[in-house]
Amino acid sequence: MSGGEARAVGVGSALTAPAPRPAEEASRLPTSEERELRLRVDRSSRRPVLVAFGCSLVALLLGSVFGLTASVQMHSPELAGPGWLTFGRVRTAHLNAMVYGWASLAMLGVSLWMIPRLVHQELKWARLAEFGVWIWALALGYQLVRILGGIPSGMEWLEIGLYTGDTFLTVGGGMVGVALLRTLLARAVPHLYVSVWYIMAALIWFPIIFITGNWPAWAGAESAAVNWFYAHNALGLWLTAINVGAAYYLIPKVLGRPVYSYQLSLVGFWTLGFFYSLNGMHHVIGGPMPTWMITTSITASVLMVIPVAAVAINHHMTVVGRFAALRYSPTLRFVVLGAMAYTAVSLQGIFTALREVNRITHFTQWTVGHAHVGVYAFATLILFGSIYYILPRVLRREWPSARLISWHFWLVLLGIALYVTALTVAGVFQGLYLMDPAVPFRASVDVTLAGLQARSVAAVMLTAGHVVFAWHVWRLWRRPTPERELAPFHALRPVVREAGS
Amino acid sequence: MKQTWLLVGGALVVIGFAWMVLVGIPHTMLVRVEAPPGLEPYTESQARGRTVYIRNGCIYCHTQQVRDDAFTSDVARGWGRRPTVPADYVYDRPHLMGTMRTGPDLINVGIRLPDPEWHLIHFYDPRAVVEWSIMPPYRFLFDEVPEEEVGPDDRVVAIPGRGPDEPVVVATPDVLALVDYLRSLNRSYPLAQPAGAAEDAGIAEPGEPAEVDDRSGRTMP
Amino acid sequence: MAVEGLVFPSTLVLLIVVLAFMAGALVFFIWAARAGQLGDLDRQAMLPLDERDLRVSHPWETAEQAEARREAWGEPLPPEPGEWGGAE
Ligand code: HEC
Repeated sequence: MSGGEARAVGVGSALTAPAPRPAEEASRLPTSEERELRLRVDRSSRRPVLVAFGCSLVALLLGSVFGLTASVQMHSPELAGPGWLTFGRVRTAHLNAMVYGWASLAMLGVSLWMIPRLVHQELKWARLAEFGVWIWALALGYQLVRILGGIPSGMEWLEIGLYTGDTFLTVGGGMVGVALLRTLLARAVPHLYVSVWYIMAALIWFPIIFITGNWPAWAGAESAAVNWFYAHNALGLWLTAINVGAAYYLIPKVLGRPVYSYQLSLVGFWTLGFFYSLNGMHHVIGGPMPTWMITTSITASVLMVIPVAAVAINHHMTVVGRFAALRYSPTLRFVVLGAMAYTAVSLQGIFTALREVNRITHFTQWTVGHAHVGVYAFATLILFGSIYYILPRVLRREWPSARLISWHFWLVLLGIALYVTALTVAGVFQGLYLMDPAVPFRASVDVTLAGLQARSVAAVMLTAGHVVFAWHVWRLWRRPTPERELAPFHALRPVVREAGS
Repeated sequence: MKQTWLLVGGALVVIGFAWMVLVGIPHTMLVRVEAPPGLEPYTESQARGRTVYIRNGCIYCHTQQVRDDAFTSDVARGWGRRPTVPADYVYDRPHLMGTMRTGPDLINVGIRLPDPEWHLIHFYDPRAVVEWSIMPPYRFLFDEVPEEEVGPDDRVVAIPGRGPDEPVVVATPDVLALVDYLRSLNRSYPLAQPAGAAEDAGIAEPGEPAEVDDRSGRTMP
Repeated sequence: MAVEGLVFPSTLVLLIVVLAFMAGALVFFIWAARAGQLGDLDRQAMLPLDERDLRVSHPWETAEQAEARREAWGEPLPPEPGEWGGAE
């Protein structure tokens, strides 16, 4: 590991970037060698990364169609289909396709690419990882069929069948985790960068919570507690951890400067793990659950201010003064917006966990809006940004079209903005009406209709954005590797202004 | 951080702690919750109906819990005579407490809507009975049979507004079981607990007035 | 009846578990910090950045920012296609 020292060199106060370069630190790897290393590392993870991204895109398209269908059916129930197309099943297929198909598989892809890069080592046991991704993807595909066929397990976020699905996801994910751990142990750098903590911790946390959630021993109120212990941590310790980790890599990488305060990232990481993991019971506020459990979760939810502030300061202050970069880098555009959404969704979550607020917003469309700020505006946007950065590097060719990236960006950005606004407003009214026993129940249904219809418009926009994205990836994939071709969006000029307006 | 073990160990400590607090310790408490005398286990038919409920995703629009009446209006709205408590759910595997109230709470729907015929029509076409409903119709839980082929055991549902020359609507065993299940939903029996036991278990809100409140059933003498 | 009398002991158990874990975590981190695990963070922060990332000219930077970069890392390199979200 002696060479590692030299590679990890680079100092200076993290607060001022670019860091000054002291004389004795002139021993960074020559640029050509760094480049060799990067190429070698990227090549080693190529196959599993491509499989993961490819499968995740299929799930994204499927999930979009399910989501759109469920959305339309909700305000127009006369469009109900046969059993396998009934709202309850399509909605469930949507959630599972998006969370376990799209987001999780894309996150596995990001992890498989990023960890080797960050430890300056080729991906070890790449075959095993690739095989694991396949197992995960195929098992999930089968589960989607089962859900539409009407065999879900009955708990939200845990609908996948125990023996036919959960087992395979655990094993498949485990294979990826083992390959990455093996790579980590063979690292050629003395340090573990903050993204490595987040990603590796997520890979440790996920199987633990997933097995706990699916363990067939729970009954009654306890199964509700375990349900929300799992489902909340699936967001906090899985989706959040890996995407925050990805942002911690991509923002400094694109801007060419270290994160604002590295010390803070340490605080942010450990407090996130500690507080987020205790949040689950704020999903049953007022419900049939021992109060101390709920109070514990509300307290932990409020304490989430600490990690959220730490991550927010780091992500945003690194960009401050350089926002113009968003016009040059599609990756940064998605990632920075995703990071902003992370701050927003966390603050909204803390707010919603307060009893006074929760008694109104619980059980309303507000929650659905909130979930989409998290899984979409935060996680999905960061994943889009990551894929824009990673895919050309593993495929060794450039994105064909700046225009398609702009279309994708604006469609999903406006789509999610409309989505969240519509459901949040609808949810507040729904909640206020439900809270007032003098208001008939009907009013709480009627008041959401406009929001639900607007949500369908948003769903069309998001789906269209995903089709554009998938089409662009397809074109990138089919593209011959050029000798040296200039990227259309990269000609050292802002791209959003022209193609986007 | 420099060492892998620090990361792995720290991650395990963090999750282990949360696991103890939210899964381990509650388990030791909640497994000891016993069914109140007023609560019957589900019959075979009701259990089948419960499966139909799960299979068709009713949980995504209906809750099955009455929240604390100290800060919600669930009781005032008539969804229950008292907030539900863990003991109400001992036979529920898995729980169906739900997260969304697009439709009304159903944990006491058996009291509100005892008529099986109403449910059958409602499932076939919610708008036939509740004109503003956005609940999806569940026609696939019914068979359409020509009048002359109706067997003696078939449960024919008189759907309002169907012409005489149309095939008749026959309920499948699945939907009959579902109705059976819904009609069994009733958590209004008093909780036979000594005064204050629920508070001790931390089920009630702290600082609640201690006077006897038989609506909540929590401080029954 | 069913849940009677459970709360106090459980709360006590809870308190003990919480305190034990907190103490454990504290010891763990103090030890890690003393073993130097948490030190040298400035270098760690630079880990994802290759020399190229630091030297390449970033067209969105202000004149001062670009000058600071040049002083610290030398003459700027021209960016390659897709440098910030495409291929090298
Ligand atoms: C898209 C959301 C949705 C789904 C899915 C749904 N419902 Fe409903 N449900 C409603 C709405 C809205 C109402 C209120 C209007 C009405 O009575 O039709 C309602 C009302 C009811 C009522 C009458 C309750 C009362 O107090 O008036 C029952 C019973 C019921 N639903 C049972 C079911 C069952 C069983 C399923 C699953 C097979 C189901 N619902 C699925 C939305 C839904």
